[in-house]
Amino acid sequence: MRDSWGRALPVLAGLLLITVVLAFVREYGSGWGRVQSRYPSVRAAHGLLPPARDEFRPGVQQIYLPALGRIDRCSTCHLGIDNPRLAGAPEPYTAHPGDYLERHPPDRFGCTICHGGEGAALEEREAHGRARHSASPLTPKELIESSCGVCHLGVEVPGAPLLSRGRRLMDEYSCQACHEVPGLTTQKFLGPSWDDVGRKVTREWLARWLEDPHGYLKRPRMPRFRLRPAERTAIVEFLLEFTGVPGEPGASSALEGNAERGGVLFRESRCITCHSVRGRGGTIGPDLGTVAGKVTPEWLVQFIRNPHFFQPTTPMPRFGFTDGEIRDLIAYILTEFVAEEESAPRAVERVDPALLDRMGREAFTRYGCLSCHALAAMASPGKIGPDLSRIGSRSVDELVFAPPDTAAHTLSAWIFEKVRSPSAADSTARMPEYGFEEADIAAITVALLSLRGEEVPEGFRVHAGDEGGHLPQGKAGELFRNYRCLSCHQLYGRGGTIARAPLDFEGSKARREWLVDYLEEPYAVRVLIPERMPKLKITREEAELLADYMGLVFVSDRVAAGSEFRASPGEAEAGRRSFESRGCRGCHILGETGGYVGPQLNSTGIRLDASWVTEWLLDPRHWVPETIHPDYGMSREEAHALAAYLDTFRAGPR
Amino acid sequence: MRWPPISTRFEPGPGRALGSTAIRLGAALVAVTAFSADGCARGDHRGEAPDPAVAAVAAERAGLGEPAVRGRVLYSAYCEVCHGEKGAGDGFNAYNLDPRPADLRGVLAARGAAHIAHVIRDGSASVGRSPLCPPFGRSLGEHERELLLVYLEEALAAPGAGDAP
Repeated sequence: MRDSWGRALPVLAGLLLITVVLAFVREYGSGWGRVQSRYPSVRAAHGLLPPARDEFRPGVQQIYLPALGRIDRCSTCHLGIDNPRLAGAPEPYTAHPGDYLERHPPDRFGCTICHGGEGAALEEREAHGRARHSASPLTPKELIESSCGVCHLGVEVPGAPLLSRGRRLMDEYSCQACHEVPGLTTQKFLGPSWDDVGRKVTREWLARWLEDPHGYLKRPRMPRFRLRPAERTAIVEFLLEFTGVPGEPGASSALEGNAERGGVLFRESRCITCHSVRGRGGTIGPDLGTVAGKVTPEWLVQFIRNPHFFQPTTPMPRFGFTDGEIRDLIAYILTEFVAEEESAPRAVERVDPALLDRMGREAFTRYGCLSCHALAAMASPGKIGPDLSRIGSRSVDELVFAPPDTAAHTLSAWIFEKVRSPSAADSTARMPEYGFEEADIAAITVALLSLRGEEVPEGFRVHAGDEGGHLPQGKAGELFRNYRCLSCHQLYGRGGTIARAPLDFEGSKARREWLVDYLEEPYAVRVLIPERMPKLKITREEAELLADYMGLVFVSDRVAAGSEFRASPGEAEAGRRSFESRGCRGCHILGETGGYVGPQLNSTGIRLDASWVTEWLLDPRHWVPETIHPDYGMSREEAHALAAYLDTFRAGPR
Repeated sequence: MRWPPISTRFEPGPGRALGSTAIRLGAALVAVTAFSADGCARGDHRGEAPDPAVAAVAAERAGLGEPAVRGRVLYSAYCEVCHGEKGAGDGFNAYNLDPRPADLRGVLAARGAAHIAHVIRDGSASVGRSPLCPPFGRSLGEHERELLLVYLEEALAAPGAGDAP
């Protein structure tokens, strides 16, 4: 017994000695020690003296962030990170690029909240999360905007275009309909409601559409579901049973209209501001290129007469067309928008109706159709997809990488492939194929990576811009909803982005008489912009009511109410000189010549309030935050003179 | 229990068996450690495989660095309408201007960053040219103007450089 221990002891002692030596080597012969020893020479190479003792003491540097639950020791090696004079120094001494640290001081935010990695680690491999099974790999710089989204909770994040694009896409395609997505809480139906679908579309169109929406629209919002032919038939037949809702307006009997007059009306109403025709035009509504093969004339009459009855959330305005005009329009649509070669209608196999009904219902539930389409007869199943609140912090070890498995084993690669083709990633997935292009998939990947489920304290969170102010109510509100003003115009941070300037201060900006005329008979103020205000057939009474409402409500304190703009003699001449010397003509047409960047100014005197013009020139960004109109820093006198000069231009439309 | 004395004599017995067990254990430990270290290296090897998300972003950036990508956003908002997508001075508004907008390809090298920065901030009139290029010093901060210069340098360095994909 004695002797046996005698043999073991030297071995154990040797092992202990080796361990201790290794620990010493690891701790003191470390990478960071060498890095710090070279720091003074790197500084010298950039014309800096060795660091003062109160500025830098050799040893482990760390930022302790109890609020974020982090300890970041990155600055142990990244010694010049906040020193702009080391911008050209080699890694790891180089300064942080950009002005990020000015907005996000390291002593408050640390490093790993943005960059990932193992903040407390001191060995490069571990710190950069390259060790196997590392729970926190370094975020690649291409995807770094995902980190912005941890604190910046709105859809639009300034300075993070990729993240914003991904979040916009997720909202546009309504990921929140099937998934729990923090930040996207507004439940909306992506597709049309289906209560009238049986009367709206043809059987052949519906079958083709369900097979592949890309066959009908270039950029359909509806994804492609991998339906078996029998399922498709079942869904088609099941859907066609829904032919309307009680109390709907009666169908029009006579359909004969004049296609030529309809064509004039189609162009005059600027339908292509929202709809494209064979690829050219707006993107708010669907392409109309071959719509004659999709919808029935009877439905079209009812829809154009009152789009909001069947589709309460459609962005389409209710135009003030007469029944005769509607007939003309439909005659035009049905003769003009036909497919060049109509593909042969698919034979739809006939199956037992009872079986079809059951299959249709089953397929409905399985594929979550009702997450995007409203149907009064059936309740929505709610969010049928997985909760995405923490997808950005999933561990790589729990992910299954589908064959051919050639990509990196990272969370970002996994998400990318999953979004690109859910069925390739998992053959049993119910999620449909969206057919996004790669740059869009990357943006969505960044947006998903930002959903880390990380609870940052309130002081760090930047919420979406508050939507201040209330929407118009009463009679004016009814008109706003009827004509769907906010499908194109911004108001208090809400609404569409087609119109350039928000309506927030329209009452202080535009003259009442001009507004009334313009609402009745709109024309192009900005010469070359393809999207124009549609002629909505607003009546004069309605236009006056809207103008009065805007004059009372959409106003700014910066333009004194009811004050008269008075120009002293000679002021207009001073304004003219200013106009020419400042180069305003480079962007604006005045008289015969000028640029196409800003609105033409020949009707300024009848269109705009001159006091507003003065205030606009003094601070353009107050009125339109993202305007590129330069702020010349001009004096109030000069702005006033310019406004006085422009006020003398009173040309009517055209 | 008493600690065993250190034995210097070689003596066959159970001690030898225990000693050799310890040696084997030690050897096994070293082997396992070495093997797992090797495993780490292999596991890391996957990091070399392409990440499609990273690749897609890089493709979108067309070889530009991150500051230049930000500069490109500003360029297309403020400059492109006159100076053109490739900086050739052939933007959509160029034909309304007399004199025509400058060809920006290679302009940074020809005139120097300080001159261009000056024009962006105070407008073309400030360097004795026409007033048609307005001053953007109040719209764009110093850092944003810097990003624009980086874009000019990286993407529009010389005639033809803007044609690169």
